[in-house]
Amino acid sequence: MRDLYDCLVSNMTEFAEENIVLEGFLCPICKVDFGLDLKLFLHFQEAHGEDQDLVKSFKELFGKAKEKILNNDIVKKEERRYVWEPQEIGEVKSHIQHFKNCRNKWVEHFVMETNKTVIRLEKLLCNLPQDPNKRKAHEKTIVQWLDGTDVKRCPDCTKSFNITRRQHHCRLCGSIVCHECSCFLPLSKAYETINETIQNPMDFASQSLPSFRLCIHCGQVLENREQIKYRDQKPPMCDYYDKIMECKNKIENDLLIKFNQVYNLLKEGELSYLFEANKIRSDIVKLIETIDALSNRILKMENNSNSSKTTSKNIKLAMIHYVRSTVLAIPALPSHQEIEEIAKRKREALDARLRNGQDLCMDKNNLSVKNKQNRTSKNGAILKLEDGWSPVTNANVNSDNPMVEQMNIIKNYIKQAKEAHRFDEVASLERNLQELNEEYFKMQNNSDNTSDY
Amino acid sequence: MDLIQAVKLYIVKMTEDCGPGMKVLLMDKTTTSIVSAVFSQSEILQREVYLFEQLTSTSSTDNMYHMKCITFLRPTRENVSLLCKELRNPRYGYYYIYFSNIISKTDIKTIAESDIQEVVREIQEYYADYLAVAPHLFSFNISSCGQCLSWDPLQLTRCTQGIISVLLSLKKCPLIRFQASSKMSKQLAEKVKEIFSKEENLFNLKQGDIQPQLLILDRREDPVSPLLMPWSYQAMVHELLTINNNQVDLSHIEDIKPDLQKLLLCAEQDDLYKQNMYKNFGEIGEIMKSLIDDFKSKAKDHQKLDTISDMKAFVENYPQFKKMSGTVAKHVVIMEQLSNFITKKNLLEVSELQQQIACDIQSSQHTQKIRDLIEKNIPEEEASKLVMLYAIKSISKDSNRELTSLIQLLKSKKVPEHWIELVYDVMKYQSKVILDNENTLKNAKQITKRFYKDLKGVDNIFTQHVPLLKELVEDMIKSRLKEEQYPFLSDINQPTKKTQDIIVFVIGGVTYEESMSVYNLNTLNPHVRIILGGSTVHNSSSFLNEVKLATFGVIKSRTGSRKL
Repeated sequence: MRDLYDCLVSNMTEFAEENIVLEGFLCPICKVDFGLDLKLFLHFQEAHGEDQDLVKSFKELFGKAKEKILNNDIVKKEERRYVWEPQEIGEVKSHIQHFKNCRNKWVEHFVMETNKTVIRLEKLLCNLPQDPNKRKAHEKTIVQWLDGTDVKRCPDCTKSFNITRRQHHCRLCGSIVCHECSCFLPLSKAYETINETIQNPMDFASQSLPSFRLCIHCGQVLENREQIKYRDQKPPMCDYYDKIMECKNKIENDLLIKFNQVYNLLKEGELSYLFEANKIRSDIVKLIETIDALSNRILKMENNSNSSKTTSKNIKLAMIHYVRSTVLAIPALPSHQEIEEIAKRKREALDARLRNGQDLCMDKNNLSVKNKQNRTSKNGAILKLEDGWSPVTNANVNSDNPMVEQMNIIKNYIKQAKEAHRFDEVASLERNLQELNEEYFKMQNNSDNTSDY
Repeated sequence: MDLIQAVKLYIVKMTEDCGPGMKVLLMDKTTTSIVSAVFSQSEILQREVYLFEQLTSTSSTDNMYHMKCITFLRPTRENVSLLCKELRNPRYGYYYIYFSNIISKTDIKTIAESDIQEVVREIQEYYADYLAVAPHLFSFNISSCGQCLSWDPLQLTRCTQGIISVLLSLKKCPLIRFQASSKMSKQLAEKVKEIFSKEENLFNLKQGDIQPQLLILDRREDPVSPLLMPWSYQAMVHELLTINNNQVDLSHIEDIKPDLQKLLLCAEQDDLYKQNMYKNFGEIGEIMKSLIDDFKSKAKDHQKLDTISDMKAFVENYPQFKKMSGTVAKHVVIMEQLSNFITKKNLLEVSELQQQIACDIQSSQHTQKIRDLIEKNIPEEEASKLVMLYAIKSISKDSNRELTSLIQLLKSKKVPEHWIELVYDVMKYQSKVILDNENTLKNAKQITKRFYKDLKGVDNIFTQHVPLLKELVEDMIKSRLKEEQYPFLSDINQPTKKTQDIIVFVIGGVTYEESMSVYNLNTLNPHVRIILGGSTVHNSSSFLNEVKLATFGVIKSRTGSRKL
């Protein structure tokens, strides 16, 4: 209105400069005097409303364009960022079948070789003479030694033999290698390899040659066999670690789930669960303490190698992280008072709801109840207690929850029973109602819980 | 199409494949950076991986049979032989072997024959053979693609393998397009195609209605973009401080706190960085200021802990508080460094002139302005970069004379010889041969563009230049990319229908500024998904280094690189 008036005034002054002077409530477009401001306003809205809209929309367009040009897309960039739908893992290709096929052939060959080597070692060790010369003869009878006259170079390193680089025979396969390409197998270890304890330990004390010379290849074969034996050994750290994982498992797959359930019940106002919640909480804390202590023990363990040191340090680090994130994830329990308050509020809300439902039933069943009332009042005095009595179920107690429906029905029964002066029935019905009420609460809570997960 | 997710999913799968128990991750140098680009240490520790070893450093002989070994390697010959050695004397309990790319059957056989103790439980190809720098950006960290303006065969293989792994990890089998003017991009396109046909089974992927497109470009087409001073946060940090494997090294700064010497800039873990990495310097300044104020007030709140509930709130908020204080402190240090550089190098003036040269604004005054700035004693690298830009952009006949005089001026200012060499190198490097007839056509397009630009008005004089890459991708989105200049690599004429998934690879590296424009294009066009990759992510100095190596051996002649 104000704008219109201003516009009007300006119009008038404009016109004043021209020849004709028009006064009053003029329309700025068609210049008709309307006499009253309200009339002019209505006219303007009716006749020029559309034009106005057009101008307005033009203005908006320009405004938008201006905005777009000026701000470009800098402003919008801040809020928006592209989001791509979650993806599945990319292509993979497994080679394990081909790998196993190749390996099986090779492993068979290797097993055969190992067995051959071990059997030879067994033969060598059987009745091994102590005298060096005799021993050499014994060794030669078991394994055919290669004739060294034509061997000019070591087959492993291809360096030629001379006075300083002498030929040596592998005691297990009889081949010729140089000193660098051979290794020694101590007798004690040799006996160990064939699973025999040394028969006469005293004999070996005076041994001048307490070991066998082997080529690198045979040495490797025996070494691998040894390694496989020790593969299953685990350092004490593993026990601790297993215990940690056990604790972790218990927290994650058992206690935390339970805690969340109970916590939700508390939030619903179930005061009786407070004790249990506290207990679960302290259980979790205890387990966390155990984890902490165990990881400390791993950290303090004697580690001779760098890698195991790093490992235990990292385990400790991971556990600190884990402990921190778990502890922080456990919410503080509501206090006694808070729970009571929640329960009170909840009860009130439920009561209100039930009352509403009851009222509805009452209204609908008014008629039948009245009929009954009439009947009972007629023969109320001559009512005999031995007479059978049964309440009438009304079909109009429907509710979307069967539990609520049941409760409504029972309430109806109680009313009827009261009217029929069946007070023992009233009492038992009331007990029923109480139980139903409790059940209903529990169900409500559970459904809340499940929806949380 | 999220690259970081793709790599992460692979690594998570690796840690799940071998079940519970202590694990060690055995890697080579490249895969180490691939893993560390997407996983933080604490994240990977939560997956029971407690030890990280390099395959090359197998000197330690202590056996840890109780640990499961996840082996993640590139399928190189060296790695295969090292792995065989490792398997002959295994230090760990069981081995789960993953190669980051396609490996030959013979290599598998060699490895199998070394596994006499039968410790290998799994051997697979998981195609995570690239550095996922951002969800839409990958790099292979190749500092130089070749010499004499052609491929180093080794790097050609590496790029081919890398692109193949990107495609497989995203399950895409695209149409290939390449830049017709570049020999290198054609070679790479053909190599990729070769693997498509060789590994038919792998690339027999379920595709949607619209086939993705792979566009291979050559940096030589646009040497301007990497030379310009960028003003978005991430790009600035890279230009002035250098980001290497998500790390910024500040140890050269005097009296810096030891915990701030090596800063990790990782969008996955640093929300502040994630939200602001594409904002410009001015915006970041404001954000930092408000953050610090906010932070100070919070710190004050924490100081007065009167009631128990205050304490409780404090303890509950503390880890967050501490984390935030760490990030804020980190970014404050970086911002301080950046603004130091800006004043020290006179970057505002330099950048304005750079933009004017790059966008051909007031071209008549360029030489004079460059002279003025050089007289002002701006740092030698900035002075030389201005001359380089001028050399690339100027096409008129007398520009040659002007250029010679500018170089004379540089010499008189005692700019070292290698910078002057680089001016010539850049001219050799740029591939654009400007022909007269093409020029008129292009100019007409340019003029209309300029006209629209003038209409719009310039919102920021420091960021007027639009990288060529952005224009190309925009054309591609509208299916208007010229087939003569960017043909498809196939005999059948491909119908250029709609485009949905676009993968762009730039031989010779990309810049973070280009990454930002791809990010923005992704945001503005929700119906397309664009991924950008480069042989590396350049800043101006690493780019010039590549230029130097790439033009090594090219005969010195100005007329050879352009028509005068």
